[in-house]
Amino acid sequence: MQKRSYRIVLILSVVLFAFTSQLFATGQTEAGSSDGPEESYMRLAWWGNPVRDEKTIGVANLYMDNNPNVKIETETTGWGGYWDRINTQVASASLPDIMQHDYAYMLQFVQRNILTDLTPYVDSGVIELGKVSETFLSGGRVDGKLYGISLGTNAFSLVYDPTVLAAAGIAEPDSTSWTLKDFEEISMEIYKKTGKQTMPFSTTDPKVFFDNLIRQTGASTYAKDGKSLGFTDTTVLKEFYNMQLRLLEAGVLVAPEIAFVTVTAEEGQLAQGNVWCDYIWSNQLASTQAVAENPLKMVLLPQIENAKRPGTFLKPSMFFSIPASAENPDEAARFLNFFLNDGAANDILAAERGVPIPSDVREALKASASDVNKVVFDYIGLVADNSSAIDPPDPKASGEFLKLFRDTTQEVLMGLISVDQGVEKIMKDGNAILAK
Amino acid sequence: MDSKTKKLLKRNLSSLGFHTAAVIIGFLMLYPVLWMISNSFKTTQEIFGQNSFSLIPGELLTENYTRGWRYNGTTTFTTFFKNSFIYTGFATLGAVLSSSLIAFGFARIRFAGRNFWYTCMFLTLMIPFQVVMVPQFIIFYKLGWVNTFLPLIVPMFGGVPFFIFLMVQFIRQIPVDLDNSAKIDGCNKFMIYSRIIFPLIKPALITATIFSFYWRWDDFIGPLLFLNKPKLFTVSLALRMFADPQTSTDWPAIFAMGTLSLIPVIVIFLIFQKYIVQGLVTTGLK
Amino acid sequence: MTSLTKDSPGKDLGKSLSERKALFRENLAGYAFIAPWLIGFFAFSIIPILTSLYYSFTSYDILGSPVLNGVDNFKNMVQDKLFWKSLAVTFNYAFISVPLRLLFAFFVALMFNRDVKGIRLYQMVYYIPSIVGGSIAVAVMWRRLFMADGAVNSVINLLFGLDVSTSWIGKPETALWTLILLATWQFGSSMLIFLAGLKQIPHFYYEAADIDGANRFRKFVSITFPHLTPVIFFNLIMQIIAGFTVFTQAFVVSGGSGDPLNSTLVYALYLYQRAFKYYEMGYSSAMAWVLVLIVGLFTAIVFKSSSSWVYYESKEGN
Repeated sequence: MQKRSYRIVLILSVVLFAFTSQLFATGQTEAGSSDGPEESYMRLAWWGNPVRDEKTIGVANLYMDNNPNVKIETETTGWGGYWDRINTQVASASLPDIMQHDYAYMLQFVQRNILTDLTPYVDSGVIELGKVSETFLSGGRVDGKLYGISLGTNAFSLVYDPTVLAAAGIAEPDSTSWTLKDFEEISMEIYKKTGKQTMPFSTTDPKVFFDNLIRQTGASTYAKDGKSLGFTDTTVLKEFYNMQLRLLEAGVLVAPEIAFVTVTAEEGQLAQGNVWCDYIWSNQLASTQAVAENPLKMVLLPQIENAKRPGTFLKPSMFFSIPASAENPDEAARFLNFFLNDGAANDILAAERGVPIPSDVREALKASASDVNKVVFDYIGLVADNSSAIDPPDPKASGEFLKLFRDTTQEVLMGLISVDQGVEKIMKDGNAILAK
Repeated sequence: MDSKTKKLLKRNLSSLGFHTAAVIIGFLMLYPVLWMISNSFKTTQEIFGQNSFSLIPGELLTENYTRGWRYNGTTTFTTFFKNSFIYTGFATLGAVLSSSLIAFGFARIRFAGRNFWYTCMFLTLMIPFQVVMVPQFIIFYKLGWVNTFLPLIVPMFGGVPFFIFLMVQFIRQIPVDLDNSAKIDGCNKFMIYSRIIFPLIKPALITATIFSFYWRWDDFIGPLLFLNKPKLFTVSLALRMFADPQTSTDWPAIFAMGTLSLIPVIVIFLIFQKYIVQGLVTTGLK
Repeated sequence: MTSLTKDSPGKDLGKSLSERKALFRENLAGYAFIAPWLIGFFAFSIIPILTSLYYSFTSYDILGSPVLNGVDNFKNMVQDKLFWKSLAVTFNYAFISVPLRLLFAFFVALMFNRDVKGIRLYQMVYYIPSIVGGSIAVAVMWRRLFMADGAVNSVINLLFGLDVSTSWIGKPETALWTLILLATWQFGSSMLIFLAGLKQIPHFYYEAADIDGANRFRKFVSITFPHLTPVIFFNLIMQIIAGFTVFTQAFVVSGGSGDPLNSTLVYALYLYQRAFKYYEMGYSSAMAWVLVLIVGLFTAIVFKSSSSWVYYESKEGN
């Protein structure tokens, strides 16, 4: 009996020690690789999935082929894990040389001096921005300094299935002129004729939809300094809720118990054929289209009454930033330029991160773009002519505010509180959160 | 009918009842897992479509496996499985052996400060990992252990509180007389541990091995923080990389690789299970 | 709090030299055996634990440096509605799922503790749900089961001819129950421990009872149960700790959001959101220590009670 226990341990040990060599081999290549005097070593980090990984690694390899002295170490995870890892790396001062960044977290990183100002690299021509219009760059600017370069442009949109409208005998909406009222009528009409419902306004983050409406009044969700709400007139907020409640009352709106469950694109109501439209960022069209029955179309969100300006804006889908602690920032900047402007590199990337910002790259890619990407390219072109400037990056307390907004929206739609109560909650608690 | 056949019939009936109940409940238990396996052969549309609850795929799409295994083309699941085996193997070996040593110390030796340290051990169990994650990372970073398996393996040699507690409970079930008679026979403490206690707590050791293997195999946050390079990724880490909320997700490949990742855990269970089922040969006792 | 013995062995006043020597050797042996744990504790645990204690009295956003702010975090907690909400969710979860899991595990283990053909297969089948754990496949699966048009509703409607279209995971009133169900479904690990405990009971007790003509119930009450108490005690403690610190299942099922309307926002999930979504590591650490106090209290109560119901073969070490 005793012997048998030992035998288990023995077998385990043998199997394990077979792997030992491997373990230490890994350690050794590590030490050797960063030794050479001329070798330029840099770490590149991004979030994504295997498809994006393959493309990004492809560009890194291409860059290393062109510059044999450079060694790029790639570090990648999915979106969720990415920020856990990056935050831990900030705390231990071990950020990579170049990292993918998001608009939502930009300001906090800049305020803590974690990122490098890229302006000197632009001035010296290391990063070539001659073909890039300022509207694509402003998202990466804080107080006039450039902290991130957009890897693709994004805009919020209403995506719909034109065959549903055709079946209901309704004309397709015109981006530049249709109103919220039109939207309500179309939704009611479609439900009557086809039984297809309407999604509540952007359930993952209802603030995005509301933001578009409030921007049309000339105000914005957050005040410029991010310390309070950027609006005091609650008319739009009330209508935001009242319209959804009217639709819900009529059975047109998907019940909040269903709509607010976080699901994958494949499980979404549009993919399931239950609704006629959804509200997505333009770079989500590929995944939305992949699971939809018919070719989808994109339009701008409808206009409110007496709109003072377009509510839609161009937003960097993601940035490349260079941390202030980067050990090899110069190489990182050269790589960034390559990633941004090089034709061969962009052929590999194929606009997977969003519509590229240099006009020549954009034109070159558009010609060879897939049908889905063509829709996105056209939509971005449309937005470029019908947009207003992006608001400053989200303030630090925005995470908590978004939760408040989403929770309140659910409470209102589930009938747990009245519209007035909901509005008061957002105004009062929202200001308190932002003032913290 | 004489009483003997009656008894036999009764036993057969109760056996039939037992098996029927076990199979029906077993199917309910297993359905979600079977569904997952069946999804690994389906198309995305089948997985999420009208007939998504079906356990029988339209056609057996084995390319889900090849596509999933390929991962990003540069690093494949061959690497991830190898890494997972290294990490899980060493970590489990360390966790189980060390825990048994430590448990013996806590259960059988009265030393000053024993209760204090035992309480400290429970404290480490109760504090949520999320708040010690950052300072812990800094320690391993300063040690230069990031991007090696060391931060995942070495701490396991310090024992795992769950296993230590488990083994303490089992050791306390063994009469002290055994230790005493061994002592009279000239055994020292280590010999009592290795020759008497260790073999007698085999069910606990086996249970700990099965758990440790699964926990380490399934661990996500440790590998996420300490292993940045794809060539060091483990299976559980790679599996999470498939899903990205912003782009399309290859669900069939996730289910395929998810199914494969269950196999080692099940195999380990099957290998060690028989030692639980067999139980103790108790002739050595009393 | 947690104690193995009542009297301290360190009191050695008035003892002879040889006794002291023996005592010293005993201490030495004890520390030698627990040395791996001690080394690991001092090298990897103590600093992070103390650091998090320090953080709990600071305002710390991870990106910058911690700034002492006294007991502000604890004061804010009292005002924080979500703090109380998450506490309530966690208590609900723990008080329902822990007993359910233990009961299931206990009875299934008893049922499977027999020498029948196919028993190993059954054990494996009932254990398998526990090894799909926190994978993202589980999240998808759980939604497919409990959505409005999910499998559960289909089965209910088919069996009872009803027309149920409740979105079980979308309704604040029912969402936590699906989480509890998920936890109960994964009772396999406690079951294995019970099985191991059952195997540890020496056979001769049963043989002796057979000679005395005891029936099955009698044997269960006088042999099986008492001998299993250390393992029941172990499972109870571990499930209490696991119940109060539950994170993975809640994170996976709601995608980290605590949806719908925070009805699955368990304490550890909220604490995670505070630390890594809102960058309030100070507040999060303070929350963590409140949790330690709560779990510690429950654990201590169970430990204190154990002397009256847990039966050990060896009452005292050495």
